[in-house]
Amino acid sequence: MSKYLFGFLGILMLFTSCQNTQSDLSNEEGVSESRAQKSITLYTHRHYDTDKEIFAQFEEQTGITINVVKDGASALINKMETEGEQSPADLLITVDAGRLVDAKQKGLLQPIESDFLRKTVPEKLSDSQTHWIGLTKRARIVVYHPEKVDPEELTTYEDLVSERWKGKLLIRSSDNIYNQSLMASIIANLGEEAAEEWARGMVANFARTPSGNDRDQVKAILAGEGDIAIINTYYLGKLLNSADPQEVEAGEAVRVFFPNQGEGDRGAHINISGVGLAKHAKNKEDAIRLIEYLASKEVQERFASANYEYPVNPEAEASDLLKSWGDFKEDSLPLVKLGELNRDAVVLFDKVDWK
Amino acid sequence: MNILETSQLSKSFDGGKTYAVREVDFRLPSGRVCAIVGESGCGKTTLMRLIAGLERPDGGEIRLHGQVASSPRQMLPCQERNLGMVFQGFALFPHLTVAQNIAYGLDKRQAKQKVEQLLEVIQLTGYNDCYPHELSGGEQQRVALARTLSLDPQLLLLDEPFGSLDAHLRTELRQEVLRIVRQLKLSLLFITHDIQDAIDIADDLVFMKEGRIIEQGELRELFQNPQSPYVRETFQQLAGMSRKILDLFGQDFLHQQ
Amino acid sequence: MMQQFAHQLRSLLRDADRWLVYASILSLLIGLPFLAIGLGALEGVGEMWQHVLRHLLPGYLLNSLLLIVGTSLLTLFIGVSSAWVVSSYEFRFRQTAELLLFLPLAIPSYIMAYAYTGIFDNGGTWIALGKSLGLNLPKIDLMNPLGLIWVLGLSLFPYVYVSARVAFQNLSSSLQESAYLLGASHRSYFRTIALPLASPAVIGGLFLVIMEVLNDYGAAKYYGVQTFTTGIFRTWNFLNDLQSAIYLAVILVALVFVLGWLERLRRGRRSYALTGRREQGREQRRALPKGGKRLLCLFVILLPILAGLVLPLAQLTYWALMTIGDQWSKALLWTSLQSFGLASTVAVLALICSFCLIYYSRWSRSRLTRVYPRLVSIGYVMPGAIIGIGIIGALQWLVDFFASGLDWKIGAYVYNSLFILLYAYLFRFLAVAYGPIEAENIRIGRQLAESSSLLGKKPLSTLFNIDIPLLTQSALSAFALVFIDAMKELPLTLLLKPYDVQTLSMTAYQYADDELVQQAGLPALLLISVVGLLLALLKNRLLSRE
Repeated sequence: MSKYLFGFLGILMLFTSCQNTQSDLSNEEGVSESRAQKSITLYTHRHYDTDKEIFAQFEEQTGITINVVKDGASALINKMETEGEQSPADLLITVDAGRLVDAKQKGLLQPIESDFLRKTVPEKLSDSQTHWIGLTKRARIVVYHPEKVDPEELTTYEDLVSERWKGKLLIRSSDNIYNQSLMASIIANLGEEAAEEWARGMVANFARTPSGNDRDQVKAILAGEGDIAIINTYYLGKLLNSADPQEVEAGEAVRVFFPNQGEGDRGAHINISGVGLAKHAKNKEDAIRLIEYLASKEVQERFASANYEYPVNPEAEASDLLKSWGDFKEDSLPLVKLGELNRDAVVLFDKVDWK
Repeated sequence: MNILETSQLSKSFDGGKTYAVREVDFRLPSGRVCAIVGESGCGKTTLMRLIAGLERPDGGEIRLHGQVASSPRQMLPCQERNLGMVFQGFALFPHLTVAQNIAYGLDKRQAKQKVEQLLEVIQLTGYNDCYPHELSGGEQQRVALARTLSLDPQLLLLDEPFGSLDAHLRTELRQEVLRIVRQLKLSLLFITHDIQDAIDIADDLVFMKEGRIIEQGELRELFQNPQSPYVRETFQQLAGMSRKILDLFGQDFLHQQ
Repeated sequence: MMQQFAHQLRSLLRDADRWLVYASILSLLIGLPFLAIGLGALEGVGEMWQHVLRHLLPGYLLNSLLLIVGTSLLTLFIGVSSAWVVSSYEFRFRQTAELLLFLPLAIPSYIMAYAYTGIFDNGGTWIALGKSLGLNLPKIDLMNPLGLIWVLGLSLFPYVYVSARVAFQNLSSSLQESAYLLGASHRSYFRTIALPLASPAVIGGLFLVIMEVLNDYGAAKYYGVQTFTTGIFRTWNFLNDLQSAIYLAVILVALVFVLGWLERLRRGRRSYALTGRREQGREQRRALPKGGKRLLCLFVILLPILAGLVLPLAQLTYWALMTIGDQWSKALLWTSLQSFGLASTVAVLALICSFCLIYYSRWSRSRLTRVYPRLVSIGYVMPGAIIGIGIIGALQWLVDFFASGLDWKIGAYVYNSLFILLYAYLFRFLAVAYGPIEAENIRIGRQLAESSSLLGKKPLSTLFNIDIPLLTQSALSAFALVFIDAMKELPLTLLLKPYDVQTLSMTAYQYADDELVQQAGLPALLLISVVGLLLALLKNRLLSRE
C-alpha cells in the first residue's frame, strides 16, 4: 500500500520540480533586460486577495509580469538587506510608513522620479526625497459601544488615560506595528517623557492583558469585556463585510470616533500602506509604471476601497462606507517621524510593560 | 609453512588505556585445526577480527602466507586476504535466499554450478529458495559456512561456530565441519568458550585471558603437561566429569551400542 | 593534558581516510549555517542588549520555562494515561482509538491555536451555539500562557503517546504474570513495573515535545505570549538588533544543549539496561474494564480525541465551508501540489544525506565520522528563524565570493531559487531522517556489511546490495517523517521561499496573520488531511513492538 503512495508522491514531485524549472527560467528573464518578456519583482506585506486582481489587470494591460513575494515587512527588509546589490526586488510595499523609513535608513531605496506621482500624492504622505510614497491611507481610531459610552466623553488619545476609562480600554499588543506607530506619533507630538507617562496610563486602564488582533478588540466590546477599543479603520469595514455572521454582528455593535478633532488640535493618527523603489531595482522604469498605475484615480478607488482604506489620490473618492463615517482632520505629522521614532516606541513599550 | 603468523600483535579501543589484545605471538601451520579458548571478553573475537582485516592493529603485525597483511601502517584489504570468516550470529543476509546468499561473492556465470556443489557439500540440496529465517540454527550455520567456502579460501575463521546450538546437534556439526575442512584441505582457526569443542576437533589449542595468550601448543602436549594453573584446572574439571560418568556406567559403557 | 591532546591528534591523523574527507565535506556543507551563526556571535552583543537583558529576557525565560513545564505535564498526563489504557484494557473500537490518539500530530500547533480561539473567543462558535440554545455562555480566554499550554499540549501529546505506547507494548506477558504471582495489583503493577520500564522512552518523547515548544512561533505569536522564539523576532525586527537576536538564539541553543545532554546521559544508561533485559514472549494481556473504571477509561481516551482532533477539525471545517466559495480555486490546488513537491524533495534529499553519513562512518576508521551526524542534527533543535539568519549569512559569503572574485553576479539566482529553501529544510530536518535509519542500522549491526566485504564486495556494492535493501523500511518511515515536518514547517518557509512558491502552511498562516482566519480553514484542512493520511499509513510502523 505505502509503496504505491510513495510512487504517486514521486510522480508529483517530478511534476512540481518541472514547474519550478520553468519558473527559474522566467526568473532569469527578469534579470537580463534584453529578453522580450518583461517582469518586475515586488516584495509586499499586503496579502490581500483583492490586490491580486489589480496586479492581474496591470499585467494584462502592459504585458509586464509581476512576481510577488509576500512576507512580513521586517522579514522582507532583512531579506533585501542581506541580498544587497543582487537583490531581485524592484519594489517594496508595506502596510506602515515606519517600515519604509526603516528601509530608507538602511539604504535599500532610491528616489522615485515621476512628475505624475509628485503632483498626485500629498507631500506629507511621502518621503521628502520620494524614496517611498503612500498608496492608501488608514486612521487609527477609537470605536465604542454606543449604549455604554456617551460619544461626548471621547475627546483625544491623551484623554484615554483618564480615570474614566479604567478597566474599559481594549487594544492589541505592542508587537504590532500600528501601535508602535501610534506610540511614535505620541512621542513626536508630546515628547518622550509625557509619552512614557501616557503609555503607563494606558496600561493602567487596560480592560485585559493585550491579546488578539484588531478584530478581536471589537468582538471584545460586543462581549462586554471593555467599552472602547483602538483599531484601524479598515478592520471595521472588514468586520461589517465578513462571511462570518458573528463578525458582522460585532462590527454593527460599535460606532466610530475620530480623536483629537477639536479646534486647533492635531487630528487623528493616520498611517499609510506605501511603496518604495528598491535601490538595486533591475526594472526601474516598469516598477515606476506600476506605482503610477496604482496611484491613478480609477485604480485608487478600487485598490483602496477593496480593503476599506482611504485613497491617497485626492481625486479618487472613498467608498460609501467610509464616507458614512464622515470627514475628519488628519494629524499633519510627517510620516517619516513614525519610522524614525519606531525603536524609541518599542523601547518605551518594554519599559512600561505594555505586553 | 605457516599460513598465519602474528608477532607482538596489540589492539586498544580506548587510546592505550586498556588493551583488548596484547602482544600476541601465534602461528598456525598450514592444514591444521586450531581452537582459541577463553572466557567471554578475553579478546579472542578481537584477535579474529584483526586477522580477518576488519580492525587495524595498534602494534605488531600479521603475516599471511609469509606476507605482511596487517601492521599499524599497512593494511591488506580484507577481500584480498584469501580467507573466509563466519560470524557468531552467522550474518546471513536476511533479504536474500539461501542460493543468493551463497552466490553473493561469486560471478554470475559460475554461480549456479558452484551453489549446487556447495549445497551438496553441506548436505542441504534443494534448499535454494529458502530464506534464512526459515532455517534451523544448524542449517543456518551450514549455509554460512557454504557462503564462506564459495570463494575457495585457504584459511577458515569461525567465531563461536557451535555456540548457539543444542548439545546433540553440536557434536554432529563439529564432525561435519572437520570433515569439510579435511576434504577441502583447509586450515581452520576457531573461537570457543567450551573446552569440549576444542578437544573434539582441534589439533592445536590456544588459551587466552585478558588479551594475552597464556598457553598454546599441540593438544596432547598441553594435556600431558599444562603449565599454567588456569589450563590445568580446566582440564581437571573435564577429567573429573568423565571420571564420574565412567564410575556411574563402567568402562563398558563406551563400547556398548 | 598536552600529552593526551597530542595523542588524540596523532590518532586523528593516523585514522584519516577518504571516508573522513567525504564526511567532512558533506558535514561542512550541511553545517554551514551553524558556522555562520557561530561566527556572527563572535562579533559581540548589539547595542540593544542592555535593554533586552533588563526588560525582555526575564519575561522570555519565565514564559518559556512556564510553557515547557506546563506543556510537559499536560503531554505526560494525556500521553501516558491514554497509552496505558489502550495497552492494558480491551474495549470496542480499541484499534480505532489507537489511531485517533495518534492523529493530532497532523495538526500544526499554530492551526490548533487558530481553531481554538475560533471556538472559544468572543464571537466564536461556542458562544454562537449557546445563543442559539438561549444560553449566555461565557467566552473562554485562551490568549494567555495557560491557553497556549493547552493548545501546544494537545498538538504535541502524540509524541509522548507514541513512545509510551511502544514501551508498554514491549512489556511481556511473563513480566506481568510474575508481578501478579508476587501479589501485585493492576495498579501497583503499573506504578512499580510498567511505568519505570517505560520512563526512558517517555522521556525521549518528552524531549521532542520540549523542542517543539521552544521552536513554536506561529501559536505563541497568535496568542501574544512572548517566548524566546518570538523574542528573537522582536529583537531582530523591531529593535533592529540582529546581534542581540543572535545572542538570544545562542542562549536558546545552549539551553537545548543542556537538555539534550541530560537526555543523552539518561539514554546512555538505558541502552545498558536494555541489553540485560531482552523481553520475550507475548504482549501483556489486556483486561476488560468494569464499572467506574470503565467510565474513567472512556474519559481518558475521549478527552484527547475530542479536544485534540474533533473540536479543531470541526471548527476548521466550519470555516472551510464558510469560505469555500472564494477559496476553492486552481491556485489552491497548485499550492497543495507545491507543498507536496517541496516536502517530497526535501525528504529524498534528507534520505540521501543520511545514507551518505551512515555509509561514510561505516567504512571510516576515524571516530570523527560518528560525531559529525550529531553536529549536523543540531538543525533540528534550532529555531527556524535562526537557521534562516544562518543560511542567508552563509549564502552571502558565497555570493560575495563569486561577485568579487569572479565577477559573477549569481545573487538573483541564488536568493530566489528553491535551492536555499531546500537547503534550509535539509539542515533543519536531517536529524529526523537520520534518526530512524541510524537506529535500524545499529540494530542490524555491522557484521552483514563486513561479511559482504569479506566476500569480496567493494563498499559501494555493499551499500546497494546489503545496506539499502535492509534499511528500506526504516527509510520509508524516515521519508514520511521528514515529509510531515516539512509540510508543517512555517518560519523557514516564510523567510526563504522564492516568490513563485506558495505552500499550504504559509497560506494558512498568512490569512490568519491578516486577520482573515476564516480563510485559513480550507488550506489548513488540506494540509491536515495529507499529513493525517500519511500518519495513518505509518501508524503500524511507529506503534509496533521493537
